[in-house]
Amino acid sequence: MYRPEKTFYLADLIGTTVTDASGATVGRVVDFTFLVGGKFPKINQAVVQAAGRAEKHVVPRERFQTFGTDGYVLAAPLREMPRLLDCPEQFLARSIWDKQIIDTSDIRVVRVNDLEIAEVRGDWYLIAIDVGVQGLLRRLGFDRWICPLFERLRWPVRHEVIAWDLVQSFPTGFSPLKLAVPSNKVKDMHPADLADILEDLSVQEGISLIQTLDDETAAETLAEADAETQAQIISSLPPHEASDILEEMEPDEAVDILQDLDDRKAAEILSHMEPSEASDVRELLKHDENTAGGLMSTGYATIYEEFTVADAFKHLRLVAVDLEIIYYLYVIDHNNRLKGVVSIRDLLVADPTTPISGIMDKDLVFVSPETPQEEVASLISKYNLMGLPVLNSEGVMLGVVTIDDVMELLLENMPRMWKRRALSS
Amino acid sequence: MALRSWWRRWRIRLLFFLSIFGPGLITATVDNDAGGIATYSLAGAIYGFDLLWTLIPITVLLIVTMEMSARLGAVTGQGLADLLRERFGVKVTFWLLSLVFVANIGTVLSEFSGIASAIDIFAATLGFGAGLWWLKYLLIPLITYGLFKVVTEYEYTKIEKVFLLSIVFYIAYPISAWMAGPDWGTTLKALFVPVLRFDAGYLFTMIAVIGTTITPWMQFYLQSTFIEKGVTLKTWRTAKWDVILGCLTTDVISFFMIVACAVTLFQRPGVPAVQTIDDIGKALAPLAGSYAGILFSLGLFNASVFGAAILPLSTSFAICEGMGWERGMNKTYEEAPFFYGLFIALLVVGAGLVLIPGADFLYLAVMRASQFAQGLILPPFLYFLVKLGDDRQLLGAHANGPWLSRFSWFCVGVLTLIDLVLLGSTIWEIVA
Repeated sequence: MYRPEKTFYLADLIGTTVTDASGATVGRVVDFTFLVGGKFPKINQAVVQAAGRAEKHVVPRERFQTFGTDGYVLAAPLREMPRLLDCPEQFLARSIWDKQIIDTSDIRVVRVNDLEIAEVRGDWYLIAIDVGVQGLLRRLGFDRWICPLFERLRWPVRHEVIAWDLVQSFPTGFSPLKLAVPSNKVKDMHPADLADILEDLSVQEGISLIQTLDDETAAETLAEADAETQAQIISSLPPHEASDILEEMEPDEAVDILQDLDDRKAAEILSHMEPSEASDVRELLKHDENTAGGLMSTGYATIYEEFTVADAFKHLRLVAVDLEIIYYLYVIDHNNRLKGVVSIRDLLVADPTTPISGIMDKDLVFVSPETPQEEVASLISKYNLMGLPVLNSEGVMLGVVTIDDVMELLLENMPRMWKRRALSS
Repeated sequence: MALRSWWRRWRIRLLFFLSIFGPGLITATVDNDAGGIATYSLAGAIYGFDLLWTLIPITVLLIVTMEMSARLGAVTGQGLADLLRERFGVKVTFWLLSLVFVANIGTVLSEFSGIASAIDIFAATLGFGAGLWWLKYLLIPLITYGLFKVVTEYEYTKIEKVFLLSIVFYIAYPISAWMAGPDWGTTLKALFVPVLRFDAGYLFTMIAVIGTTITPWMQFYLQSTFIEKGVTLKTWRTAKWDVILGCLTTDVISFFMIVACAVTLFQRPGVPAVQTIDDIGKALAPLAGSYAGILFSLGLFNASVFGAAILPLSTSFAICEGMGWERGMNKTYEEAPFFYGLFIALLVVGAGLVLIPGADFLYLAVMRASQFAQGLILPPFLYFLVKLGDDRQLLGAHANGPWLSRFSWFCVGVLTLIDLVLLGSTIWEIVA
């Protein structure tokens, strides 16, 4: 893009009078339309309100003799221009002003106060949205006296714009038409950041955001969101969409969400899931959500005592892609009873021909499925574990509680002010 | 067997109702805050039964407007200020929120006046007289700091139910009214037969009664609690009954408050029987005898603290929502400076102004005047609320039906008319 010759704000353009060639006023500018496509949308038409009448006309730029801050002079009579109908045009003021938009660089939801337009080689482009106080004052018509006043007080009013290519719009109640933006920037955002945004949106907006994502990203995003948001969104999505997203999650995360829904809704979503995924989830659903059984995950690797280190690596390479926990490998006998554990570090430093039984740690820390989550959390933090195996009374391995499953719990128990400080620092 | 399955079904419904129950009732309870108590009491004390008839139309309008904003929240999942901004643009939102802000400063002041009065009356009734005049200078800063801490550091919604205790206090009014033994025939007649008077004082009190019952900030508050509780269309039918029940409860209490004060305090039409707030407490004398002051001050204290906790928060939240500023207790001070700034400023201004020496005599006046201000800004606010409720693009099949819409517009018209008549009669009295 070339350097802009001039930039303006939409608030300063709207309301300007339109004259004919003789200088008589025929109306005033009330909006502009823009073309979708390209990095910055091009502004192609003005919406003109006819003076003294209710009609609005759409006037292409080419039909103006003069177009810009120097005035708007029409080359042809206004009544020859097409009337504004409820056509699927994209409007600057009507569709973007005052709407919420996602700022993908700072990861937050902002409200559009004003729009910045640049003139490049005679064409107008929408280049940025103004989300600062200055934009707000400009819209209210106060900027002319408040901004210089604060300037003099050495406390200038914040000017804050975000480039158009860094924002992402989403449909709301008043603008159900999704603004087409060249690339879907939301897809490039980290799921944890998306989850922050999701928590700031209303349920309806959140659903439309989730629906723009592919199932895998949607699953990762939801997994990062707080329990309330998860439950609200999953229960409001159509069951087949909800089940598609849950299938992409780790079974223990899916179970966490399902346990927060009412039973009928959970059963409905489960019935739409793939049978194999659904049976994993059903198995986990048997446990109370506040116990080790409810927290544990089944995505871990098991090996046998008679394996060598090389065998273990070979096995891990095959299965690792679907696993949640790869830091530990659990050594079991042929009855699925847990015998020991080796970490990736143990394997890396050992000779490839060493038998696993020689390096595995037999001094096991484990819990039963009924162990309350607080105890699980304190064991994990006491022994500095990445994961804690869950065994039934016969010593058969059922699952693993990982550190991130209890992270929330450790954070939740902090007073809110501490948490805020911890998270902001 | 049939009975058991019937009970099963109803038990599920009941549990479900209780789980989302609350926003309506709590919002309605805040309705009878310091300003509410003062306004209803003065209405009864000065005009006897003459304003009772307004309660029925007010209740209908309260239900209509509360239902409308709750429905907007349930359908769109967005706050009222958000919707105003997206539908009517920044100018309308700014000016409307400015009106709400000014009226709410008054109401915050009235909550703190209520706290201060409660402390004074309590000290006085215990027999310390004016010897404990300094007590409020000690307690109000502590209470303000405590409110700030509680609201910012704890899940407020978890403790707000504590304030429902005030319902116990409100039950004192029906009992006291009953024991004072009014002529129930006359009372009922006054409830159904309108008394139209056009003097400025009567209209002023009428607008204050309307303004203390139906207030813009409650609509903002209700809609945001609905969203926070995750009420969506699926749970809407149950939540709606919570709202209606809350509205009915609040106005039944208002009715008995007016009756109790009318019986005990009203003397002759037009002659103000009460001069200060502690006189109002005497309406509880038939029930509590010489302990009326203590009962009254405890109730007033609870109601005022409840209001002082909610009002600054909800005002700041609504303004930041409308202006698009970061808000909410999960944000840091750096992230949401406007939100915390407004919240703290409202608390400090409220607590600071009532502690100005000599302000005591103004407490009662402030309490009523702030409710009058709320009543005055009601017509423009309702105009935009009803427009939102009518919007088919936004609400689809859940928009106002033709009769509800007509009725709402009729109410907006009547309220505007009352405002104008008051304006006219005030000018008339000044000129005459």
